Amino acid sequence: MTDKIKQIIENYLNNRKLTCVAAGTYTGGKVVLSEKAYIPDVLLTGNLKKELREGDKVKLLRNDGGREYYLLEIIGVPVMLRREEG
Amino acid sequence: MELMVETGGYIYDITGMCSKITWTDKLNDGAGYLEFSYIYEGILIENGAPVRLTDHDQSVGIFYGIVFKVSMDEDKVVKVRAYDRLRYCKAKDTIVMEGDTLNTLVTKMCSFFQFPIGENTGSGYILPANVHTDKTWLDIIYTGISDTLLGTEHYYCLRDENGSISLRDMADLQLPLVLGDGSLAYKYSYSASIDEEFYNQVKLVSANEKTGKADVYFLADSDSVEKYGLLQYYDVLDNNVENAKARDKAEKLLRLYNREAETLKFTCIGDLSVRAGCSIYGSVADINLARRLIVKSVSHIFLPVYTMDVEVMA
Repeated sequence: MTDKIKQIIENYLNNRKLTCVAAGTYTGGKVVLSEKAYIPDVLLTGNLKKELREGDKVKLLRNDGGREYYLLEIIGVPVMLRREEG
Repeated sequence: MELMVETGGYIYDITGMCSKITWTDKLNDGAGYLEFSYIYEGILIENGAPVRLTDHDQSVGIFYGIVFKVSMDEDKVVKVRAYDRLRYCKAKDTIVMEGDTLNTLVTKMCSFFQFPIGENTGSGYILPANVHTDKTWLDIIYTGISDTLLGTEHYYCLRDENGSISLRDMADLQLPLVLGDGSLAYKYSYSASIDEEFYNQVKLVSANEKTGKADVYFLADSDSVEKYGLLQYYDVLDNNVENAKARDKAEKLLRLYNREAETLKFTCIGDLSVRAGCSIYGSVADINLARRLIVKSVSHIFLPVYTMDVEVMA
């Protein structure tokens, strides 16, 4: 019984897609996580998106629900913050 | 009706040995299954054995499945449960959805499992992009069916039809069959509920990155609120959802949830055309019922006399 409950909770959490950090490689139009899994461009957000170049290793934050992947970091690439002065 | 099973390299017709044969089919709720019992006389069916149930002349296939469970007790009664092919679709995998429709998902799934595809009717509705990891194929397709229902107001059902996987629009599955106190049924039970999945006000929230504040959308049916009290549905949408799109979703959700959930169970004379997802015409004078109803689940009980237990929803 306990195993069944654990399995139900595990399936629910998988289905829910909680927030988590993922890492992958940008290959132009998508971030490849593994052989079968990739994040399509339409799900990527964040102002680092326009800085991406093919081959970049990135860290992503999956939003709760899994419908958005926020670009946290382009690994090894220092990004300068700029603010236009009005 | 004939029940054939292939085990140990031989095909047996075990129809005459069986004391029970029941086929259960549920709407978008996992695999259908056939349960049968027989007296042990030297044949003990093995797990993995293919089972086929056909009409009398074997020309019409009713069920094709694989044995997943065999049990026997000291009375030498062997109980067997065989599932249809959707049982295998409980396998988990990583699936990226991008520009997919329900049809392409079903095609991908059948291609992965190498299952034959039957009818694959689709709406062309593009499902939202998503990355599924560690999730079953069935769950992914059922989520796609829910999304398509909200997007198009067409309800689809995924089912195994005698060994082929089919996706059908339930609007196309109307049977010319009346079930009720005057037709085929000899027992019924009825319930109407607002206890689950009933909402008469919808509240949707979407973060707006331009304004830095959340946009909130409300839609209510005031007559329903007055009658039943306020029952609110709440959901958080993706960020920056357009106004018209959010309103459209709220309208569809309200149409979907702002009605009593009616459940009706019939015990009646068997009819092979009745499967989950089909609709029949329900007619029960006591509760003023005279309209089309969708079959949520059906159990065809072939022995000793062919009857069926049917659960329908309004």
